[in-house]
Amino acid sequence: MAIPAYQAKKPNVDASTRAIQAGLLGWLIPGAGHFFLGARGLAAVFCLAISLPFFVGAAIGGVKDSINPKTNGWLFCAEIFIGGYTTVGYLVSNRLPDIPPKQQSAYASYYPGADVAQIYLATAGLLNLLAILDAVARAAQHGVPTFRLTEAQPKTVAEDGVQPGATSLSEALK
Amino acid sequence: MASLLGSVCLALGDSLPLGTLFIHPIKLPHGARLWMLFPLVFCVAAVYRASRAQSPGEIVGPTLRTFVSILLGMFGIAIGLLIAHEIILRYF
Repeated sequence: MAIPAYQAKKPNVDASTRAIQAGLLGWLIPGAGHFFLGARGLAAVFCLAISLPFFVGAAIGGVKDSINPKTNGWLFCAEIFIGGYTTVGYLVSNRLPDIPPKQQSAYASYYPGADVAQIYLATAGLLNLLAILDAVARAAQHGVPTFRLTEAQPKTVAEDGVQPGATSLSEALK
Repeated sequence: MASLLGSVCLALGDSLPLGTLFIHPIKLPHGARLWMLFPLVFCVAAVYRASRAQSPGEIVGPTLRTFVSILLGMFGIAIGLLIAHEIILRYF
Protein backbone atom coordinates (compact mmCIF):
# COMPACT_ATOMS: atom_id res chain seq x y z
CA MET A 1 0.00 0.00 0.00
CA ALA A 2 1.41 3.37 -1.05
CA ILE A 3 1.93 6.25 1.35
CA PRO A 4 -0.93 8.73 0.86
CA ALA A 5 0.14 11.79 -1.13
CA TYR A 6 -0.62 14.18 1.72
CA GLN A 7 1.92 12.41 3.94
CA ALA A 8 4.57 11.74 1.31
CA LYS A 9 4.72 15.44 0.38
CA LYS A 10 5.74 16.41 3.92
CA PRO A 11 8.53 14.07 4.98
CA ASN A 12 10.04 16.59 7.39
CA VAL A 13 6.90 17.06 9.46
CA ASP A 14 7.20 15.34 12.84
CA ALA A 15 4.62 12.56 13.04
CA SER A 16 3.93 13.10 16.73
CA THR A 17 3.19 16.80 16.16
CA ARG A 18 0.76 15.90 13.40
CA ALA A 19 -0.80 13.26 15.65
CA ILE A 20 -1.40 15.83 18.41
CA GLN A 21 -2.81 18.37 15.94
CA ALA A 22 -5.09 15.75 14.37
CA GLY A 23 -6.26 14.58 17.80
CA LEU A 24 -7.06 18.09 19.00
CA LEU A 25 -8.92 18.99 15.81
CA GLY A 26 -10.84 15.73 15.95
CA TRP A 27 -11.77 16.50 19.55
CA LEU A 28 -13.11 19.93 18.59
CA ILE A 29 -15.18 18.84 15.58
CA PRO A 30 -15.82 15.21 14.60
CA GLY A 31 -13.86 14.36 11.45
CA ALA A 32 -11.69 17.48 11.55
CA GLY A 33 -8.63 15.40 12.45
CA HIS A 34 -9.06 13.26 9.34
CA PHE A 35 -9.72 16.36 7.24
CA PHE A 36 -6.45 17.82 8.53
CA LEU A 37 -4.65 14.64 7.49
CA GLY A 38 -6.13 14.90 3.99
CA ALA A 39 -8.60 12.01 4.26
CA ARG A 40 -11.53 14.25 3.35
CA GLY A 41 -14.01 11.54 2.37
CA LEU A 42 -13.50 9.71 5.65
CA ALA A 43 -13.70 13.05 7.48
CA ALA A 44 -17.16 13.61 6.00
CA VAL A 45 -18.26 10.12 7.07
CA PHE A 46 -16.97 10.62 10.62
CA CYS A 47 -18.50 14.10 10.84
CA LEU A 48 -21.95 12.95 9.68
CA ALA A 49 -22.05 9.67 11.61
CA ILE A 50 -21.00 11.35 14.89
CA SER A 51 -22.71 14.75 14.60
CA LEU A 52 -26.08 13.23 13.68
CA PRO A 53 -26.55 11.22 16.93
CA PHE A 54 -25.20 14.13 18.97
CA PHE A 55 -27.64 16.65 17.50
CA VAL A 56 -30.56 14.22 17.62
CA GLY A 57 -29.76 13.49 21.28
CA ALA A 58 -29.48 17.19 22.11
CA ALA A 59 -32.75 17.92 20.30
CA ILE A 60 -34.64 15.19 22.17
CA GLY A 61 -33.01 15.79 25.55
CA GLY A 62 -32.52 19.56 25.44
CA VAL A 63 -29.19 21.08 26.46
CA LYS A 64 -30.34 22.13 29.94
CA ASP A 65 -30.41 18.63 31.39
CA SER A 66 -28.46 16.65 28.80
CA ILE A 67 -25.27 18.71 28.52
CA ASN A 68 -24.77 19.59 32.15
CA PRO A 69 -22.26 17.97 34.54
CA LYS A 70 -24.40 18.94 37.54
CA THR A 71 -27.45 17.00 36.38
CA ASN A 72 -25.70 14.03 34.76
CA GLY A 73 -21.97 13.81 35.40
CA TRP A 74 -21.38 10.44 33.77
CA LEU A 75 -23.18 11.45 30.61
CA PHE A 76 -21.11 14.63 30.49
CA CYS A 77 -17.93 12.51 30.79
CA ALA A 78 -18.91 10.71 27.57
CA GLU A 79 -20.03 13.89 25.78
CA ILE A 80 -16.79 15.73 26.53
CA PHE A 81 -15.05 13.73 23.80
CA ILE A 82 -16.86 16.03 21.33
CA GLY A 83 -15.28 19.15 22.77
CA GLY A 84 -16.61 21.78 20.37
CA TYR A 85 -20.27 20.82 20.50
CA THR A 86 -20.28 20.06 24.22
CA THR A 87 -18.67 23.39 25.12
CA VAL A 88 -21.30 25.36 23.21
CA GLY A 89 -24.08 23.18 24.68
CA TYR A 90 -22.72 23.62 28.19
CA LEU A 91 -22.47 27.41 27.83
CA VAL A 92 -26.09 27.58 26.65
CA SER A 93 -27.16 25.17 29.40
CA ASN A 94 -25.61 27.47 32.03
CA ARG A 95 -27.53 30.48 30.73
CA LEU A 96 -30.92 28.77 30.92
CA PRO A 97 -32.95 29.21 34.14
CA ASP A 98 -32.61 26.46 36.76
CA ILE A 99 -35.39 23.91 36.97
CA PRO A 100 -37.00 23.78 40.46
CA PRO A 101 -37.15 20.24 41.90
CA LYS A 102 -40.32 18.24 41.26
CA GLN A 103 -41.58 20.69 38.66
CA GLN A 104 -42.10 20.26 34.94
CA SER A 105 -40.09 22.59 32.74
CA ALA A 106 -40.12 23.47 29.06
CA TYR A 107 -36.33 23.11 29.07
CA ALA A 108 -36.25 19.56 30.39
CA SER A 109 -36.97 16.24 28.75
CA TYR A 110 -38.68 13.33 30.52
CA TYR A 111 -39.06 9.58 30.06
CA PRO A 112 -38.84 8.10 27.45
CA GLY A 113 -37.21 10.95 25.51
CA ALA A 114 -34.60 11.60 28.18
CA ASP A 115 -33.41 7.98 28.03
CA VAL A 116 -33.07 7.99 24.26
CA ALA A 117 -31.26 11.34 24.37
CA GLN A 118 -28.76 9.99 26.91
CA ILE A 119 -28.00 6.94 24.78
CA TYR A 120 -27.58 9.04 21.64
CA LEU A 121 -25.34 11.64 23.29
CA ALA A 122 -23.15 9.13 25.12
CA THR A 123 -22.76 7.01 21.99
CA ALA A 124 -21.82 10.06 19.89
CA GLY A 125 -19.19 11.09 22.44
CA LEU A 126 -17.64 7.63 22.61
CA LEU A 127 -17.73 7.25 18.83
CA ASN A 128 -15.76 10.47 18.57
CA LEU A 129 -13.19 9.03 20.98
CA LEU A 130 -12.75 6.20 18.48
CA ALA A 131 -12.46 8.75 15.65
CA ILE A 132 -9.85 10.77 17.60
CA LEU A 133 -7.75 7.67 18.28
CA ASP A 134 -8.04 6.68 14.63
CA ALA A 135 -6.89 10.13 13.48
CA VAL A 136 -3.95 10.02 15.91
CA ALA A 137 -2.97 6.52 14.74
CA ARG A 138 -3.20 7.49 11.07
CA ALA A 139 -1.09 10.59 11.67
CA ALA A 140 1.57 8.52 13.43
CA GLN A 141 1.48 5.69 10.87
CA HIS A 142 1.57 7.67 7.63
CA GLY A 143 -2.16 7.43 6.97
CA VAL A 144 -2.55 3.67 7.18
CA PRO A 145 -5.37 2.40 9.41
CA THR A 146 -3.91 0.65 12.48
CA PHE A 147 -5.11 -2.87 11.70
CA ARG A 148 -3.66 -2.70 8.16
CA LEU A 149 -0.17 -1.57 9.15
CA THR A 150 1.28 -5.06 9.57
CA GLU A 151 -0.06 -6.42 6.31
CA ALA A 152 0.79 -3.20 4.44
CA GLN A 153 4.46 -3.08 5.42
CA PRO A 154 5.98 -5.58 2.94
CA LYS A 155 4.17 -3.92 0.00
CA THR A 156 5.09 -0.46 1.24
CA VAL A 157 8.76 -1.36 1.39
CA ALA A 158 8.74 -2.70 -2.15
CA GLU A 159 6.82 0.17 -3.71
CA ASP A 160 7.84 3.18 -1.70
CA GLY A 161 11.11 2.39 0.05
CA VAL A 162 9.59 2.71 3.50
CA GLN A 163 11.63 1.08 6.28
CA PRO A 164 10.00 -2.05 7.75
CA GLY A 165 8.82 -1.75 11.34
CA ALA A 166 8.93 2.05 11.27
CA THR A 167 6.89 3.65 14.02
CA SER A 168 7.06 7.24 12.82
CA LEU A 169 6.95 9.03 9.50
CA SER A 170 10.51 10.38 9.75
CA GLU A 171 11.78 6.91 10.65
CA ALA A 172 9.81 5.34 7.80
CA LEU A 173 11.25 7.68 5.19
CA LYS A 174 14.92 7.40 6.24
CA MET B 1 -16.20 35.54 29.26
CA ALA B 2 -17.93 32.14 29.47
CA SER B 3 -21.10 33.88 30.56
CA LEU B 4 -20.93 36.27 27.61
CA LEU B 5 -20.32 33.41 25.20
CA GLY B 6 -23.22 31.51 26.74
CA SER B 7 -25.49 34.54 26.29
CA VAL B 8 -24.45 34.89 22.66
CA CYS B 9 -25.09 31.19 22.02
CA LEU B 10 -28.45 31.40 23.80
CA ALA B 11 -29.48 34.48 21.80
CA LEU B 12 -28.48 32.71 18.59
CA GLY B 13 -30.29 29.57 19.67
CA ASP B 14 -33.46 31.51 20.45
CA SER B 15 -33.39 33.44 17.21
CA LEU B 16 -32.73 30.47 14.91
CA PRO B 17 -35.45 27.84 14.49
CA LEU B 18 -32.80 25.10 14.57
CA GLY B 19 -31.28 26.48 17.78
CA THR B 20 -34.67 26.44 19.52
CA LEU B 21 -34.69 22.67 19.01
CA PHE B 22 -31.85 22.22 21.45
CA ILE B 23 -33.28 24.59 24.05
CA HIS B 24 -36.86 23.27 24.01
CA PRO B 25 -36.61 19.48 23.75
CA ILE B 26 -38.81 17.84 21.15
CA LYS B 27 -41.20 15.15 22.36
CA LEU B 28 -40.53 11.67 21.13
CA PRO B 29 -43.64 10.26 19.37
CA HIS B 30 -45.35 7.40 21.15
CA GLY B 31 -43.78 4.05 20.24
CA ALA B 32 -40.77 5.66 18.53
CA ARG B 33 -38.27 4.52 21.17
CA LEU B 34 -37.52 1.18 19.55
CA TRP B 35 -37.23 2.68 16.06
CA MET B 36 -34.58 5.08 17.34
CA LEU B 37 -32.25 2.07 17.56
CA PHE B 38 -31.85 1.84 13.77
CA PRO B 39 -30.19 5.19 12.96
CA LEU B 40 -27.93 4.90 16.00
CA VAL B 41 -26.77 1.40 15.06
CA PHE B 42 -26.16 2.59 11.51
CA CYS B 43 -23.97 5.44 12.78
CA VAL B 44 -22.02 3.05 15.02
CA ALA B 45 -21.47 0.69 12.07
CA ALA B 46 -20.38 3.57 9.79
CA VAL B 47 -17.84 4.95 12.30
CA TYR B 48 -16.46 1.49 13.07
CA ARG B 49 -16.01 0.66 9.39
CA ALA B 50 -14.61 4.12 8.57
CA SER B 51 -11.92 3.58 11.21
CA ARG B 52 -10.75 0.52 9.25
CA ALA B 53 -10.93 1.94 5.73
CA GLN B 54 -8.49 3.79 3.54
CA SER B 55 -11.18 5.56 1.48
CA PRO B 56 -14.95 6.12 1.80
CA GLY B 57 -15.65 3.79 -1.13
CA GLU B 58 -14.50 0.83 0.97
CA ILE B 59 -17.03 1.29 3.75
CA VAL B 60 -20.48 1.00 2.11
CA GLY B 61 -20.80 -2.81 1.96
CA PRO B 62 -19.02 -3.55 5.25
CA THR B 63 -21.15 -0.89 7.00
CA LEU B 64 -24.36 -2.57 5.87
CA ARG B 65 -23.05 -5.98 6.97
CA THR B 66 -22.00 -4.60 10.38
CA PHE B 67 -25.38 -2.85 10.73
CA VAL B 68 -27.25 -6.12 10.14
CA SER B 69 -24.84 -8.05 12.41
CA ILE B 70 -25.33 -5.63 15.30
CA LEU B 71 -29.12 -5.69 14.88
CA LEU B 72 -29.18 -9.50 14.80
CA GLY B 73 -26.88 -9.65 17.83
CA MET B 74 -29.09 -7.26 19.78
CA PHE B 75 -32.20 -9.15 18.72
CA GLY B 76 -30.58 -12.36 19.99
CA ILE B 77 -29.71 -10.74 23.32
CA ALA B 78 -33.27 -9.45 23.62
CA ILE B 79 -34.71 -12.92 22.94
CA GLY B 80 -32.30 -14.46 25.48
CA LEU B 81 -33.28 -11.94 28.14
CA LEU B 82 -36.98 -12.46 27.40
CA ILE B 83 -36.60 -16.24 27.79
CA ALA B 84 -34.63 -15.78 31.05
CA HIS B 85 -37.34 -13.41 32.28
CA GLU B 86 -40.09 -15.91 31.49
CA ILE B 87 -38.18 -18.78 33.16
CA ILE B 88 -37.58 -16.74 36.32
CA LEU B 89 -41.24 -15.72 36.50
CA ARG B 90 -42.44 -19.27 35.97
CA TYR B 91 -40.04 -21.34 38.09
CA PHE B 92 -38.65 -19.09 40.84
